[in-house]
Amino acid sequence: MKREDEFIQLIQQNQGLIFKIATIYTRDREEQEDLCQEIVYQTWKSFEQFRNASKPSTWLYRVGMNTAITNLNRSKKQVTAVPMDGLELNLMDEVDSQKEEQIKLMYSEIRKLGLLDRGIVFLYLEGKNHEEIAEIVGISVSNVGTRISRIKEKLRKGVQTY
Amino acid sequence: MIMELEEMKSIWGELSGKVENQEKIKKEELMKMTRVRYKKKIGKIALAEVLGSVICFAFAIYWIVKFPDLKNPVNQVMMIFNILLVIILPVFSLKSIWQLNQLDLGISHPSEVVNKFIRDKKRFWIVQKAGLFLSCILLITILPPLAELGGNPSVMTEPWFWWAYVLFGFLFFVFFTRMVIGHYKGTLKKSEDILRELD
Repeated sequence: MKREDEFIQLIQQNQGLIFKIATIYTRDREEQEDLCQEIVYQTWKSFEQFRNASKPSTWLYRVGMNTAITNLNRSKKQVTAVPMDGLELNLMDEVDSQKEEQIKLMYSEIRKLGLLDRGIVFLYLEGKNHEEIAEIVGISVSNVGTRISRIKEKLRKGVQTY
Repeated sequence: MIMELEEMKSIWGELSGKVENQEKIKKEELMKMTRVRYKKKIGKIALAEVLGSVICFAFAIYWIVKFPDLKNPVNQVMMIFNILLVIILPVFSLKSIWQLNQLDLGISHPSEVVNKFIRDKKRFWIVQKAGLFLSCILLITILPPLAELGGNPSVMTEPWFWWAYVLFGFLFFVFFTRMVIGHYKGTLKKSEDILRELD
């Protein structure tokens, strides 16, 4: 299979993952679309390394989170997304108002966390265990456990202030 | 209203199902977008940083060539200082770009990226402030050697020149710093906010 086709297949299989990372690290639709495209671009740039990687999903989570963190460096004026369909999706169109409130509350609480904690919560919500989170993020398993406990505490306090 | 992490997990699961069912992105669109992005990135780096550095190096070469024409020892010291400045400042700038590109997003862990991000932000603060301060010094200290190179070195011995120069230098310093700080205010504020947001 050609390199380009392998890349397309990887993105198509994981575009949901890219969209979800972009959602927790951005605040509006324009930024979200731009970040989705930046993650795809960085994936293409680092694609040679993926070929040697043992687990494609671990690698993609890492590229996605790294891109999201570095992308915060850029100002809103520099957003350079080109209009395209497929990488973005307005989830709010398909849910009732009560659910919509819950989703908004969830994102708002996640976005209050620090950059690394946001990524850890994301991986936790994705169903990753502590070992997998540690491997992706690059911290020890015990540190993952400690951070998740602290995050739970932060979220409890954060939401109670509403 | 309280939402625990476990409750979030259930909402996240529902959303994930919807996200997975969305229409797959088309091959042509994906490759077109990737190529457009690549071109934009190359253009940005080449234009802003390389052009600025070339201008600085051109000034450095011109001043080095003209250096033997300077007879006043004070002006010679000022000129050496300014030559070093227009060489060192762009070198730092190009080095920071090079370091930025050294971070491989396909290999590095997010924990390393966050740490680097914090270091970069702190360095950005220091470089901006140092650059501002040094630019002001350059704009003031370059005038006497340029006056001598302009064929009017006697002006340096006139008391009125120094009064005018100090006054002009001070006014320019105030005006320039206010203008530049105003220009960078948004960026510096954003940088400060992000640093505060980090753990």
